[in-house]
Amino acid sequence: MSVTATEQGNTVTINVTGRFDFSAHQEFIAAYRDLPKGEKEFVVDLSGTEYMDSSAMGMLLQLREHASKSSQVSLVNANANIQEILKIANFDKLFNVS
Amino acid sequence: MILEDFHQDIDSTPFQEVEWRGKRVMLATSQAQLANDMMRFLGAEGLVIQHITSAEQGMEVFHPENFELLIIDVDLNGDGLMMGHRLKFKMKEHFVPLLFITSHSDEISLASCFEAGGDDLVTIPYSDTMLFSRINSLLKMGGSYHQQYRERKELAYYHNVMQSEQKLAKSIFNSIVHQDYLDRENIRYTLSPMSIFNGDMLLSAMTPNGHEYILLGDFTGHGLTASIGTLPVSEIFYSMTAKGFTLTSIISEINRRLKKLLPLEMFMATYAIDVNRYDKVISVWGGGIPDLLLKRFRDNQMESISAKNLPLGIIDSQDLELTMQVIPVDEGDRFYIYTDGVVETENHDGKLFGTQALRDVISSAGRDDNIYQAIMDNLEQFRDGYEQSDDITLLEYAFVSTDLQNYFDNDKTLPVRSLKKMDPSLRKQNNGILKYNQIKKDRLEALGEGFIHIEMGNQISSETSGKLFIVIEDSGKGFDYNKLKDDIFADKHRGLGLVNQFADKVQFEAPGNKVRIECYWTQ
Repeated sequence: MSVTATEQGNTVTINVTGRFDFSAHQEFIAAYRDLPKGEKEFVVDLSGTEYMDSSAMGMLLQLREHASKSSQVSLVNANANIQEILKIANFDKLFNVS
Repeated sequence: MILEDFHQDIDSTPFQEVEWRGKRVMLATSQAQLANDMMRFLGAEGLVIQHITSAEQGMEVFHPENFELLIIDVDLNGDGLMMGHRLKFKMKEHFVPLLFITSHSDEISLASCFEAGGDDLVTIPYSDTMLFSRINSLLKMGGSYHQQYRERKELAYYHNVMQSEQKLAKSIFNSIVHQDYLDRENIRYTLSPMSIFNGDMLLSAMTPNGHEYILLGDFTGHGLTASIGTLPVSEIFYSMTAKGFTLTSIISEINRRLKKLLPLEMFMATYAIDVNRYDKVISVWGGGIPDLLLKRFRDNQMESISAKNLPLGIIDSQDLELTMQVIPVDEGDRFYIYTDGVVETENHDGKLFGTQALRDVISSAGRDDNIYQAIMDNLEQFRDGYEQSDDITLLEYAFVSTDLQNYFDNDKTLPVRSLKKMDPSLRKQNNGILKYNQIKKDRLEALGEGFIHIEMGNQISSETSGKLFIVIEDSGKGFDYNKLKDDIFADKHRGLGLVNQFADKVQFEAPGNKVRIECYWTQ
């Protein structure tokens, strides 16, 4: 599991590879913690994510709180299983899932 | 953490001095000269020395908590090695460093010192510098062992405390969350014993008007933190259900409380179901939880009803979509709700059981098959001995329209105040309630016969309006209702105050043993 963040303009892209679960907690928060709150737009790239559990969804909620209110956090490139998990949770009401 | 500090300590100051003062040493030698030299040298460094001159004496005196160091002369009555060996054996889980002193310098003799359990050795003749540094390193070794030993003991203690606390918490949680009402013929469910600690909950209760509410909840995460929310949820669920609140109000209140109580990242996936056996419908509300699967009896088809909302505890209650999906059901229809642990059951290869497999089991089952058992069997087969990583909560509910159980108390007494000719103001006096209850008891016993007539009806005046009425009459003498004081209506939560608040009309009839209450309705 690894978490990397790249910043381009006002948009920060966070890549999560491997299992996105409780063990990713520290790293995931570290990826955005030092950025100013409420300003940046975030894209979470899940192309390398194999698995996601409810703690990961909790982390996404925390990120959402940190992000700019003017646009939704985007969750992109999720595999079929993870899309299913996001759909069951109805997270498309809170995130821009594509 | 402490261990880390310790390592850091060792790394950063390798030559750190060890406190010698007061450390207790057993010196076992029968050579007077050697004993004198050592005692003078070691005594000068502050060590407390107990000199013994035979192995028997040594065995007798030794207890691992009484010494920080053992120095044994191999030549002690020709028995030093054996004594060292025995003392090491006596230490059990303790550790007291053992230094042999020997006048033999051949390799086999030296090796035998270590074989006998010695931690180091000094050959005679020795230099004071060499003896000092050997003892210093052994005391250091012993000290670090003691620290670890203490820490291990502490850990073991906290582990025990935690286990007994968990056991206690589990029994408290179970008694609050678990209600026997689920143990009925038409319900099968699984909720593994420790699942309460993983934040799964399954609640069921009857409303005053005979609806049955079911709530399945699955909190984020695992362990005790995940289960914290189960307490307020069950409390809200049971108390509001008993008071006759609608299921949507209950969902809204649970959401409000969880939003306030839980940290941002925690939420509860939820399925809430209102089973109305009179009208043969179930009304369902799902938030962030896998589909409810409904197996029809009539045509043996399966339908799935997906949860349309977010889990509870994330957004404000006013933003929640609180519309229930209403689904007509019939005798023998079975529905299934479950937490994601079911479909996320993993096998050896890390493959998930999956939603489709669950659907297949249910949709392929025959009308008379035991579907619940088939699901459990399939899960077990799939797991093939692989340990269950998440908890499984699954409920099968077979719809029946008949009364399953005499759920209501039959001995609920009606308020027969008028019948007993009681003065209600009595209750407000000092000790009034005791007096009131005594008089009530006496008069009830003395009462030969009497009646209370209750008449209820609905007068429809148009397609969209009408009035409900209740007429209550008893065989008592009545009372002068014109003399009712205003304060009797002041308490809007009970008695006449309550009735007066919800009713459009409250009308007493002479001689005060009959009252008619009307409520108007429009659609």
